[in-house]
Amino acid sequence: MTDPTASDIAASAIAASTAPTADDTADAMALLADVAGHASTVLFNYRRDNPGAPDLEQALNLEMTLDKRAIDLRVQAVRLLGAQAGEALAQMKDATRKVDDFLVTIKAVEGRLAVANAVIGLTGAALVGDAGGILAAVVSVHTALKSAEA
Amino acid sequence: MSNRLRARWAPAAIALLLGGCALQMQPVADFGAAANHLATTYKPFASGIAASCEQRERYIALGNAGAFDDAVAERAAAVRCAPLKEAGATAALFGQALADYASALATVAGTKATVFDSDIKGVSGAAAKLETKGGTAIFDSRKLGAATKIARAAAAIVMQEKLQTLTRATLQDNADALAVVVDAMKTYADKIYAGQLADTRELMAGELRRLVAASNAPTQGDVEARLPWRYAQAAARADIEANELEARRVRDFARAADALLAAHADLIANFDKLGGARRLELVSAFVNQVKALNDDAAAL
Repeated sequence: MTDPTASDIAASAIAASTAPTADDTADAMALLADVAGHASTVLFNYRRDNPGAPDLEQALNLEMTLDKRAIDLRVQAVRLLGAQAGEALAQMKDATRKVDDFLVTIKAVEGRLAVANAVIGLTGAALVGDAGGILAAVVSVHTALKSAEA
Repeated sequence: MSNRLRARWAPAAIALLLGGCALQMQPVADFGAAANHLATTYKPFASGIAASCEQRERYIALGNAGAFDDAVAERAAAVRCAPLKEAGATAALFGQALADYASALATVAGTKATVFDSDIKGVSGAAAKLETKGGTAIFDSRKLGAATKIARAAAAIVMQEKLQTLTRATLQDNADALAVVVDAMKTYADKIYAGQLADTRELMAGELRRLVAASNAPTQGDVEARLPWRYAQAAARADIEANELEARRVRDFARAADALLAAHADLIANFDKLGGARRLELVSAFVNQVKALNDDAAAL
């Protein structure tokens, strides 16, 4: 059995890494890219190991074509991932913003509210040293704040 | 209930409430911190694909006939791989989204101390103003201390409830989005980036093999002429080792990403169970996987 020529290698690789369709997944594109990249490397090794081969120029051209195809397929795969994840990215960004907004609000308004109420209710209870009164004051502050939230 | 009994019960009840809240939010904080770190681990992958492509193109240029100028080869490689640089910027968005989300969770879970410390200062300030009136002490220090503690507890209870509500909603509402983004990160890392690394590695391995063959000096007189090939072996071997390490990081990342999703799902499922052991186990497993990533990087 004779060794495959550069053309043989390239033809099989190009056939295997035909342009993906719209239905292809990013995984499939990545796989096609791997096929093209590997074939390109095989051709590179062929050139390097057979400097006297008659089809070196053809091998180089095909090698570069496959190398470029591997790059393009990987780019397409990432773009597809980006398109598929676009909505999810937007949702997560929104969630992050909501948390940030909440933390700003809680510090600016309700922190002051909680403290003010706590101080008013509890200083009186602490004044008389009644633990039961203190607990009742805590509950009333809690209730008042819950009402304020509504 | 007698006054004495109430006096004993009140601080204990508040401590229990505060303790319970802190325990429940701790796994969320741990999860957020670890997920944020995982996003940091992913970050170099985004730019790595173009870098690996350029490295491959430079090695190809070394093996081409004709004139060779290293600087020219480098520029040509950058041009050829430029589309991957743009694609890497897209891939980076996934990691940024995870980092932001994880930071938000860690913040909302760990906000207790920060927010309450700020509130406590307010209480202390207000109480300090009441401490003396016309130079006469109104409260003794023990009672003032108790009032401050209870005020702190009151604020903590209210804040904690709100934070927990937000945390629960954040976890639940974003589970699907997180899965999509993390899967995208995995596909990018494990399929696309890993494929580029493998292509580059295979090419470099061929070149190293040829360098070793070219380094053979049949006689002592041949050694001098072979020295460039012999020296070049070290650089090629280092390039291959760095590539292999990066490929290992990618595989570890993919495993940790699976653990992240499992931990996130378990946080949701067990959010109401204070101190749920299973929840802690899965979060711990995830945190440990992320720590292992760190250890691997440290071993460089």
